[in-house]
Amino acid sequence: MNEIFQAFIMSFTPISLLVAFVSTLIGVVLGAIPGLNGGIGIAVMMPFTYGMPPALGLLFLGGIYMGSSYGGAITAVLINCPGTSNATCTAIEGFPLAKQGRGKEALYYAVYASTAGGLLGVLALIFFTPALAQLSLRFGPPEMLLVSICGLAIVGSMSAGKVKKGIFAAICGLTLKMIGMQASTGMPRLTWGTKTLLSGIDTLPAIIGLFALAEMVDQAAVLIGGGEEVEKIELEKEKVALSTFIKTVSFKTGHGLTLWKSAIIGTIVGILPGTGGAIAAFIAYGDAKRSSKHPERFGNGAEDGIIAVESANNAAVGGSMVPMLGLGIPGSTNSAIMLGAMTVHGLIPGYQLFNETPGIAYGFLFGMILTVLFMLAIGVLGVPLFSLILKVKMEYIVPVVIACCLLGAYSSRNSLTDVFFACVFGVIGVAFNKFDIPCAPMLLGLILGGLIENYFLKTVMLANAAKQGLLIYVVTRPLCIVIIALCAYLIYSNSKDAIKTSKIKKELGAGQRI
Amino acid sequence: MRKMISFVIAAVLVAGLSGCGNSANGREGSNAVIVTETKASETVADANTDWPTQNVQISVPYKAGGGVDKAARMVCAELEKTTGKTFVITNKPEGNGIIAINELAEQEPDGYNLMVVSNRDLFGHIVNDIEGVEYDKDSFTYLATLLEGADCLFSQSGKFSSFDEMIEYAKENPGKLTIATSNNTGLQTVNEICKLLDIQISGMAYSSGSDAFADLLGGHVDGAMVALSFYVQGKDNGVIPILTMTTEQFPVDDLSVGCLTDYGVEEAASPMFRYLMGPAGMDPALVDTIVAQLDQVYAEGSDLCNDIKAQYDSPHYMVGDELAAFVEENYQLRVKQASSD
Repeated sequence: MNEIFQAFIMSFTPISLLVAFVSTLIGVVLGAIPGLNGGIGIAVMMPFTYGMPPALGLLFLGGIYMGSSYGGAITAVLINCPGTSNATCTAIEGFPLAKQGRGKEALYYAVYASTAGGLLGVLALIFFTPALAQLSLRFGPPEMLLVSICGLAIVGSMSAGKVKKGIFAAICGLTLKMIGMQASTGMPRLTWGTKTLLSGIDTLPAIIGLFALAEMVDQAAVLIGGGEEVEKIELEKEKVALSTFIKTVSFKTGHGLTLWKSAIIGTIVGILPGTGGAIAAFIAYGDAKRSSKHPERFGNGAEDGIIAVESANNAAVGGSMVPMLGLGIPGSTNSAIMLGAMTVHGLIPGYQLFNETPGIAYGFLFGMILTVLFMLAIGVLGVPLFSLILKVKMEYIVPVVIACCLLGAYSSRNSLTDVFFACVFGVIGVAFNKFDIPCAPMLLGLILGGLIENYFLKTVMLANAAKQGLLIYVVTRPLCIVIIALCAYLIYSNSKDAIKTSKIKKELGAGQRI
Repeated sequence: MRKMISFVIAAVLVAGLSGCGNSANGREGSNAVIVTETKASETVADANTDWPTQNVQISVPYKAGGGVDKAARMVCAELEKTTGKTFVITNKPEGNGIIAINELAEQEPDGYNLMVVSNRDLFGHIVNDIEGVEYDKDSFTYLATLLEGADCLFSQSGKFSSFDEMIEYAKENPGKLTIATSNNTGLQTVNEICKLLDIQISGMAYSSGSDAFADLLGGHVDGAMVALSFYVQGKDNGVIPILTMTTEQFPVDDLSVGCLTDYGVEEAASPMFRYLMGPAGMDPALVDTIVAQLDQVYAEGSDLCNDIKAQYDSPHYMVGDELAAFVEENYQLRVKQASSD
C-alpha cells in the first residue's frame, strides 16, 4: 500500500506531468491527421522510451494512445475526414452539426465525452483489472463470433434511413475483406494471381479513401467545377464551452445517460481480444440511436451520436489494456505494441507486475488519469484553435489533407499497395456519395469481415471436436445465449427504428446524405 | 461535371500506376518457388560498411505481441542504445507472414531492410510447398540467431498434468482433444504428432500465439502450442508446459517437461531459433559490421541476455560459419522431415 501511495505522489512530479502532457498532445495531433493514428505514433515513439524509467516510458505510449482516440474527432467534425476509424460515426453526426453553425459545440461534446469515457476506462483498469481480465477470457471463439455479428446488426443504425443501401455497402465491405490470403489455409482468394492483392485490404486505406479522400475529391470538384460556391461553414460566436459541458453530463437532457452507458460499453468491448476502439464506437453509436427518443436526428447532427462514439472509443483505451496488464494478452493492436515495450523494459505483465513492481504498475495507471485530464485541457482550450481550420480556404486544405492521407496510407505497412487501395477506396467513396450510399457500413464490413470468418471457422472446429452441431454447440454456452438475446433485440430494435425514421423522414420531406 | 470526371480518371490512373510499382520492380506472383540465383550473385559492391547511418526497417512477419515480435523488440532496443539510430519494427502478419518474407527477398541488400523470423516457419514454408512462397533458403543473408526458443505444448494443470495423460485422453476420445497453435507451421506439427502416435487431435491454427494462449487460459481449447515464453503469463493462471517441440530437454524452472523426441517423434521435432536476416547479396563487410554491433549487445551477462532468460528463452547467439553450418543442417533436417510424410 505504501508503494501504491508513493506511485500516486510520484505521478505529480514535474517530469511525469511533462511526459503525460507531451504524449497526449502528440496523440491528439496524430489522431487528428487523417491517415496517421495512435498505432503509428506508438510504434515510432517507442524507441524514445527505452531510456526512460519503465513507468514513464509506458505512460508516454499510453498518452499517445489516449490522445489519438480523441484526436480523430477534430477533423471528423470540421472537415468530415475522420482521423481514425474510431471517429467514423463522429463524422456522421459532427459534420452536419458543424454545417448548422454548431461546430464548436460538436467539438466540445467530443472532448467532454472522450474525457468521461477515458476516465471510466482508466478507473476500471485501476480497480478491476483482475476481474475484467478473467471476464475477457470467458469470451472464446463462439462468443466473439456472436459479438462480431452483433456489430453487423448496427448497420441499420449507421445508414440514416437508407437501410437497403447500408446493407449493400456492408456486403461490399465483407466481400472486399475476403481478398488476400486466407488466414487458416493460406489459400489466395480473389487475387487474380496478382501480388498486389495477396496481402489483402487493411482498414486504414479504406478509412482514408472512403472518407477523407472522397470528401476532398468532392470539395475539389466544387472548386474546379466553378460556378458554385464552396459551402462556407460558420462557427458560433457565443461561448458554448460551459453550456455544452452541462448538457453533456446532465441526465435531464438524456446525454448523461448516453455518456456513461457508452463508456461502460466501450470498457467492456475494449477488454475483448481483437476488438479495439472502432468496434466499441460502432456498437455504442448503434445503442445510442436505438435508445434515443429522436432516432430520426441521427445522420443529421445528433449530439447523442457524438457523445456515444467518443465516450466509447476512449473508454476502450483503458479496456484494451486490461488483458494486456492483467494477462499479457493484448486487447488491441496498440496495446500489443505497448506489450512489446513492456518486454523491452523487463516488465512481466500479470500477477508479477502488480505484486512485485506495484510502483511501476500503479505509477503508469495514475499517470493515465493525468493523460485524460490533459486531453480535456488540450481539447477545451484548443477548440478555438482547431476551429481556425475552417477559416483556411478549401483550396489549401484539399492538397494538404490528400498528401497527409497518402502518407498515412503508406506508413501503415510501409507499402505502396496501401496507397493504391486508398485511392481505389477514394473512387468508391466518391461513387457512393454520388449514389447516396452510406460509406460507414462498408468500413464496418471490412473491420468485422475478417473477425467473423476467423471466429466462425474456429467455432466450427470446436463444435466438430465436441461432436456437436454448430447451433447446438453455440446455444449450450451460457454467455452465447446472452449475446444471442442481445443480438436479436438489437436487430429488432434497429428494424423498428429504421421504419420509424423512414416514416418521419417521409413526413418531414428531409433527406440528408451521409 | 466533366472536370470532376477527368479528376477521378486521373486519380484512378495514378492509383493504378502506384499499385503497379511493386510488381514492376519484383517478380510476378507465382506459386512456384523461385531460386534467386541472380540476386545471390549480385553483391552490393559499394556497400557502406559504416552501419547504421540511417533508420533501419525491421519487418516481423507476425502480429504484434507474439514471441518473435517480443524478441525483435528486445534486441532492437539494445541496438538502438548502442548505435544511436532508430530501428523501426513493422508487423506484417498477412498471409501467414509469407508476403512479408517475399518482399524482403526483393529488397536492396543494403542492410536497412532486415527481418526477424522463426527458422521453423521460414523453412517450413519452403519444404512444405506452401502456396504463394517465392523464396528459398538462398534468398536471404543470414546475419545471426537472436535467441533459441522452444515451441511448447501447454495445458491447464487441472486438466492434463503430462503429455502422457493427454495422449491417453486423445486415444479414448478421438478427435475431441483441441489444440490451438500459433500458426500453420504449428498445425503441421500437430498433424505429424497425430500420425506418428496414431491419435486424433483437432488442431486449430490461430494468427498469433497470444490469441491461441488466450483461448487456452479461457478454457476454450484443451492445449496450446505456443512459444515457451508464454509460460511467464501462464504460471499465475494454472497453465503449465507439458511438452517441448525441440530435439532436447529445455529447462523450465523446476518442472520436468519432456520433449518430442522422448516419444520417438523425431520427424516433428526441431530446434527453434529467431533469425535476423536480410536479402541475399549483402556485402560480407556489411555483414561483419552488423555482427560487430550485435556482438556488443550479446556480451556475456548483458541486460539483453538476462531479459531473454527471464522470458524462458535461451540467448543462443550464432554468427558466421557456425550460423551458416546450422542453417544448412537445419534446412536439410526440415527437408528430410517433409519428405518422410
